[in-house]
Amino acid sequence: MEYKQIFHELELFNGLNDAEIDKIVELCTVKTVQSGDTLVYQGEPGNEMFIITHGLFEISRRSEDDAEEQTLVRLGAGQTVGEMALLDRGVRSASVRAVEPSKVIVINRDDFDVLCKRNTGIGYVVMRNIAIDLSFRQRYRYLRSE
Amino acid sequence: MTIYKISFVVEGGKHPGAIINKDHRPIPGEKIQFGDQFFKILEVQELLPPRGDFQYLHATCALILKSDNK
Repeated sequence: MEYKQIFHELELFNGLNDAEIDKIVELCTVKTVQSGDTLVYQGEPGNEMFIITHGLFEISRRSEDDAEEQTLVRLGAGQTVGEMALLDRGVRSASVRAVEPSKVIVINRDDFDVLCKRNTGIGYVVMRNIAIDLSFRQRYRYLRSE
Repeated sequence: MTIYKISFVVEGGKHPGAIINKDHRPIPGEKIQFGDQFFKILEVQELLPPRGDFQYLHATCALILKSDNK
């Protein structure tokens, strides 16, 4: 995969060695998303996680009693979207739309589960990094609300 | 190579802000762009302790102009 070098620069895989990253690269595909296209729709079931390599995405959410969609944040290079589907198998919590031409790495949940069961060290590192990312975003939300 | 994971909060509360990885640490006064809008960095602070090659920063910024792409 031409994006192999990018994996070494992604926080999601911080702490993995080259051989471990190679195993993850084998699972992944790359998807191009045109500006304005929606990658993920709120409420839909999801079994993929995405890592943004190029471009910018808008994360938006509509509450049950709110007719308007509220933009929560914009995510750019290096960020993950859809990781909650890997963790809790729930429906998508928000919609994700490209605001400029973008590319993402796609990781299928079931493939990732198989890899983690075979390589628990990889699973631990990636899940830890997901948790840290969620912690970062929570702190961002606190700061934004101040 | 150090990678900077930065949360950008735009003062005023109307813009959603952004979270983006950069290859350099932003500095106050620097101009950045995400999407079709430009922002000026006002303040930078550490959000989380660094881990490996990653540093976690928070930047407060102000909208300065909206680029015209027409």
